Amino acid sequence: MTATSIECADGEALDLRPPDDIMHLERLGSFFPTRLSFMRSLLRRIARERWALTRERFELDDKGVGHAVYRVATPKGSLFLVAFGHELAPEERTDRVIAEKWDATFALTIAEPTPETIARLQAGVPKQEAGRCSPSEFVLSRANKSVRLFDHARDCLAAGKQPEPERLVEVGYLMRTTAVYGNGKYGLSDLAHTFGSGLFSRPFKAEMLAVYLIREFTFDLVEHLARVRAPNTTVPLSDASRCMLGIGNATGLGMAPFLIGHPRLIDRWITARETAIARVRGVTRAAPAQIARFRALLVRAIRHLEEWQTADRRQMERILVLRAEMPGFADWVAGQEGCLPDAPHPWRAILDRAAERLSIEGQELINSLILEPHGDVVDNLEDTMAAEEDLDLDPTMSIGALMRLVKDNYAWALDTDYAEEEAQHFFWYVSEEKLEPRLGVRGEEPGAERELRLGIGREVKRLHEALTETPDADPESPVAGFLMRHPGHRRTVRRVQGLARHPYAEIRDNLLGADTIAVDLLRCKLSMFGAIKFDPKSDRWTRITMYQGAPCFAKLGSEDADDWAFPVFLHHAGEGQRSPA
Amino acid sequence: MIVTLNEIEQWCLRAMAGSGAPPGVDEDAAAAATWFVARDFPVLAPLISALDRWQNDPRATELRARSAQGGVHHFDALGRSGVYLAGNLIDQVLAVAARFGEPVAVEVERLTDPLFLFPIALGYARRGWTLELSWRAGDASAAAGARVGADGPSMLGDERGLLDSNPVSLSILCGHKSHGVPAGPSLPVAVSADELARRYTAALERGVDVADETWTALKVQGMRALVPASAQSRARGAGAEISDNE
Repeated sequence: MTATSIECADGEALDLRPPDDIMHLERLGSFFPTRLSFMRSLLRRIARERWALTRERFELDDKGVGHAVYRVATPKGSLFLVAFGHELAPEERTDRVIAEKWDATFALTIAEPTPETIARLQAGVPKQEAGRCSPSEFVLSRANKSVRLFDHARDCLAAGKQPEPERLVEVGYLMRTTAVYGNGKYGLSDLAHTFGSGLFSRPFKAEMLAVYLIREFTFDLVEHLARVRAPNTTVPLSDASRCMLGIGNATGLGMAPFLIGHPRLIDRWITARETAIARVRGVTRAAPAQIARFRALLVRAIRHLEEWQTADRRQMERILVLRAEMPGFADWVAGQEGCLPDAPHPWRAILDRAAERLSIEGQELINSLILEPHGDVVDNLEDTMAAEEDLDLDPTMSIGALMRLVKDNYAWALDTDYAEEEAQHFFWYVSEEKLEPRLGVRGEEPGAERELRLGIGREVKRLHEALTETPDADPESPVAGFLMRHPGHRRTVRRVQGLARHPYAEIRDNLLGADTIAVDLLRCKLSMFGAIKFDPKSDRWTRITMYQGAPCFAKLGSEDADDWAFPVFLHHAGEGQRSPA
Repeated sequence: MIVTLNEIEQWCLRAMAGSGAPPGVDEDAAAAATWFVARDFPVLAPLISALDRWQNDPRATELRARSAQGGVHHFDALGRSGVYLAGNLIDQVLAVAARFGEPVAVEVERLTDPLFLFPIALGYARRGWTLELSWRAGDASAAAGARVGADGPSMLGDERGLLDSNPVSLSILCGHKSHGVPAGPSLPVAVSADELARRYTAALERGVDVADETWTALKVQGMRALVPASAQSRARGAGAEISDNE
């Protein structure tokens, strides 16, 4: 792989992997979380700033119906998770976005939880999309029980014992969220207001906090219902059991258009990730302890792969490849352990070996792992993962300069013949049903005439053709004249110009093509969040687990609180293996 | 109904797309409408009115350049709305100013909803441009305008004239800091930059109160960009084909 020298926004010059190697679905859909993922960086911040969690109210009845309030005290003020428990008949329980009832609903708010606030939230939050929130609320969410595991955990606790670890790990969560809304939806706080509060300065951090607090609620809920059943024998959920439990999520195409609609943000996320890898790659010497730490993490990751199960054939085949190739790689690292600390650029040697010998998913696994022992080198990149997202159109740019931008940055788009049926197999649209983005098959499903313009490659090719075919196109004439004659290219011109200095902004594949696997888009974004155990249920939606292995709130101050990448629970603790706590 | 700025922008965008506005033109109009609603200017009604008038009409974005006279550059908007022409007109003004390398004056005849040009102009202030827009409303009694430059945005003249629905003759003064900016505002400031900022903060903190009938009308327009749910799409969505009671 040939590296490309890219000067980052802060002037740091590094050899980052070229966008042409990275910005394809095959690789983006192979990403694993890193220590820069939002869940990891959020928990580090909570620990660093000594946020405090208090359960202020827990007024749920014997069936779990009622409400609970959790206060999170931060140096910038307090936030509250208000949780409502509901009674739900089995026939009403569905993870579909079209659902209208859930086991629990939630709001993350900055409003003091007075009786008036609770009454206001009670009127809107349980209705979710059909209700209204206020700008005091940052996040709206809901979750359903994983019924079998929840009942098992409740019954075990009531009987005075812990749930079976195998069952906890098999499912991984007591509840799964089916939507986590923010940024002005359904009356929620606009992002500018959320940022203006001083509590958050980067996208999705409020959502990640809400999910983390929901996890705490699930622990309290299962203990409460166990106590209802057997008040004299119930034991609390142990730290080890809590650690095995995250929060599940069913994620569909709702988040896929985000990656196309927020190209500068995506550029910042990928640039931060690639910069981190390049920084570690450029480290000239490694302490023996760092190499040993990496090797231990590699062993842990191999065991993690053993615990990662999915019924999805494509993903399972990839997991089997990982299981086959990683032990050999670990053996090679072990064999090199004595000499790597003395070798120049030891991490480069490891990455080069991975590039030569491993599958794409294996390479990305190693990329995530090498960052782990390097918090001091990479963690400040968290601060670069937000973006000014407005794209500026420059009407004074010459046609010739615009043509050069298209040729330099969108060569990947110009090779495709979009007249071919296969090249426009899919169309993206927004459904009337809860305004969900969806993917349709052109010619088979209605709505193609209302498609979203997410096929950036096709749009750029159309622009290129219009520029080329304009008979009076003086290359020195300004773009303004072209757009007066061709107003339909306004969005594309703005995008091409506005992303000229953002090399990781565009996914360099035809997202309309028959070979598009939309779930790869989801994995890219979810890995940035920090989700693990991707469990695709089709080519368009996936289940995931969030915060599995993370310390519970009370343990965030412990020395090893940040050491929860690639968690392992069932295998014997090996070298470098932290015990769940 | 109290709504958020995100909701306003999203529904304006859908309404524009549903009306057949070209991609990019829809984004400009949605951003402009949101900018004004966030500052307590009721521009959703003129937006909806423009959509009604130019529904799926490709002539909505037509603009005619006329020859310059006496150093003033002329365009004819042919009675079109700033909802559709805002970006295009600002493009032309900046291109003329860049070509001549000096402040320029531009006259645009027969333009409705000139206010929609202003948020587009605002984006260029970040890059050193100063633009002053002014017009006289239909009855000639209410001169209005807006100015953006290094000292921030402000609305000028008579607030009544800002939202006049009749075609106006729009005057634009444009300059870049590198070649001098045009003379200061010829109209008194009606809403200062500080007041605009205060209104924006209030909108973020409290949301925006939009009349129910206006909100409904906007959503009716926006629904034209959406696709009715089908059995196929439901069968392929998240959570499909799986038991949620396991």
